[in-house]
Amino acid sequence: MNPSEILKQARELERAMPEGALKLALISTFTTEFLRPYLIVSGNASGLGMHPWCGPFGQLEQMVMQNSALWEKNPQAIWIALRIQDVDPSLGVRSDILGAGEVRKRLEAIVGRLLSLAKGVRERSSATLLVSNLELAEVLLARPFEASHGDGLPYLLADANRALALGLADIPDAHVFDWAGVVGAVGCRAFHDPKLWHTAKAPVAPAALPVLAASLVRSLIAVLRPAAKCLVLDLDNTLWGGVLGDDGPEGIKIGGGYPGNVFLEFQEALLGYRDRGFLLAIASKNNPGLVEEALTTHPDMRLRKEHFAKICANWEPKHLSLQAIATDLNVGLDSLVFIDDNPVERAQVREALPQVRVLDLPSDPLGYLEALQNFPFLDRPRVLEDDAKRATMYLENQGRAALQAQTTSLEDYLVQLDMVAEVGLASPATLERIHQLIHKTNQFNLTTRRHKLEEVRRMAQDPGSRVAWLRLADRFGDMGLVCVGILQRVEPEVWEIDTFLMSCRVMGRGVEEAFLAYLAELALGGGGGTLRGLFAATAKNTPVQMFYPTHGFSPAGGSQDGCECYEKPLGKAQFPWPEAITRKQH
Amino acid sequence: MHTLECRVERVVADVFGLDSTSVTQSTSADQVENWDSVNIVHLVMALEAEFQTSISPDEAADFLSVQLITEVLREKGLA
Repeated sequence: MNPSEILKQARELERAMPEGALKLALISTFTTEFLRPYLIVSGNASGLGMHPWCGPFGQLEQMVMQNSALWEKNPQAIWIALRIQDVDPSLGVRSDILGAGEVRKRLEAIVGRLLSLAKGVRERSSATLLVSNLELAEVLLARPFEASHGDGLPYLLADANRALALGLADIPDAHVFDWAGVVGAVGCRAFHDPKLWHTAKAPVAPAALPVLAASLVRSLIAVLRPAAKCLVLDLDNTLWGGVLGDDGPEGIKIGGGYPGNVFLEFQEALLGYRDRGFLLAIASKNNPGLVEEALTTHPDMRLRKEHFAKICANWEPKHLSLQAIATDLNVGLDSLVFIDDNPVERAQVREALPQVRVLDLPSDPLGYLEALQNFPFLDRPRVLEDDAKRATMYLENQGRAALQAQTTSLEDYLVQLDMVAEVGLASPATLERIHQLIHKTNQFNLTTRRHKLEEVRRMAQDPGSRVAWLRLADRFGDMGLVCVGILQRVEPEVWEIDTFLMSCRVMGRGVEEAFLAYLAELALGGGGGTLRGLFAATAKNTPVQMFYPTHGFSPAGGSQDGCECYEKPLGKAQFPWPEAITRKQH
Repeated sequence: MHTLECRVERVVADVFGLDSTSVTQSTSADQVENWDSVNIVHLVMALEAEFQTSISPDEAADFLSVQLITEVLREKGLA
């Protein structure tokens, strides 16, 4: 689109932008005004409405560290963009006369400044924070041998950027925005426009503005919205070249020379996504026996049977397979990404299941990898340990399902699972996972209060609150943290359950009874006489609307902010711990 | 619709958010409230993209009315 078309579309979008759309503040050492319309248009293309506000340039501390227009705006997301070229213009060009030691010192000062600003933001608000990292690409264009020296600028910059990443990791909900990466992706010459810079202090070339905007939007989506959970893959001409039914397992193209090596690279990339906690599944119109053979016996196949959480190989319409996958893996349809080379299949799925995200693969397999890399819904700002183990956990789950088929009663099944529940109160080590569950859990979530990490931390330290967790293991493995509960003492003898949530993977085992028992214990220990439960209905939590009545709570009348209230007296034997679960105190 | 004048008028309308039917060659800076430095930069970017040309800061200094813009571009041989 031409700049004038972008402006026109941005103007129309802004006029119709809902009031509740994301308030984004841009705080920078250069003019960001020209980025605004591109942000609005790019955001809209990815389903992210926003009200971008550009702070006056070159006034970072003035905006952040005191009452200012920034805080009057009360943004939900802030981008701090500082360029070395703006704050220390001679650092790059004169680095030789300054010497590595002095350059290092000045870079440290810049990073220190960015971290102070980040802390300053965090002290005043819980807004999500993106902080650009540093680059001197233009300077380096003229110095190809700078990389030959161990203390050359590229390495000093890398050290500074690493220090920035490490420093931001300690600040809740603060992330590096890889500005250096965007410049690299666009190419230094294409990214900068000397005329625009010298006349308007706008460093980004018009043709690079859409790329920068798309990158920012992508980062915002990743930190504000839950990522997709499962990639559902077609097989023929998606994961390998050729048609399995026609060519047989020996005839499909995977590995070796062209084009098999193109598909191999694609498979390897998908394995990378699995490493980051995404599940892989298959929805293929194929003979299941042949599929199993291809996945297990082909010598060059990178993705094997065990990498897939579920394989649907049948002749049904694909949307039925997608529904089966969502049900079996206990995820929402909107957590699925459908990847299929056939545009007809993609259209059918789009029509039948509009919540499923569909990746548009180009007709040439050489473009598959790029299409996957550009898809904005597959980013994980922080990879938590549980994420990396998730795919293995699903394998273990299959073991559990097999056990269920063998036992005769639910009680037997539960006992044979050898469940051990560890309970405890939030600590720095568990805080991130607790926060992740607070944001991801939709079904078994009584109040769906999406507390920010900072709020959870505060409540964990408040003597009138308790932030509790439960971790479950059984004979097939450790499932990690599966329950989160937040209690608040709202009256001298009344403890209220602000948050009670549980991961769907452990439904139907009595774990919620165990956790309720633990919360009751905490409330009793805090001098409580009554436990109050709240329920706020959402589109997704209907399965738990009777949770409190089922557990002996009586309606307590009156609703606060649309929540139904229930109460039950605390005391011995009111909240029994289920027998099938062994308890381990943290 | 493809004459130089028409194309310039359309770009000006889009950049400044004006109704395309109300923009003529005589539309000028003192008539348009948001004919400011930020939008002039947007205008330059838009004209450069539309006409696949480069507009120098000196040329942009003359951008005070649609007619003047059209003349600058005509002088660049874009008619």
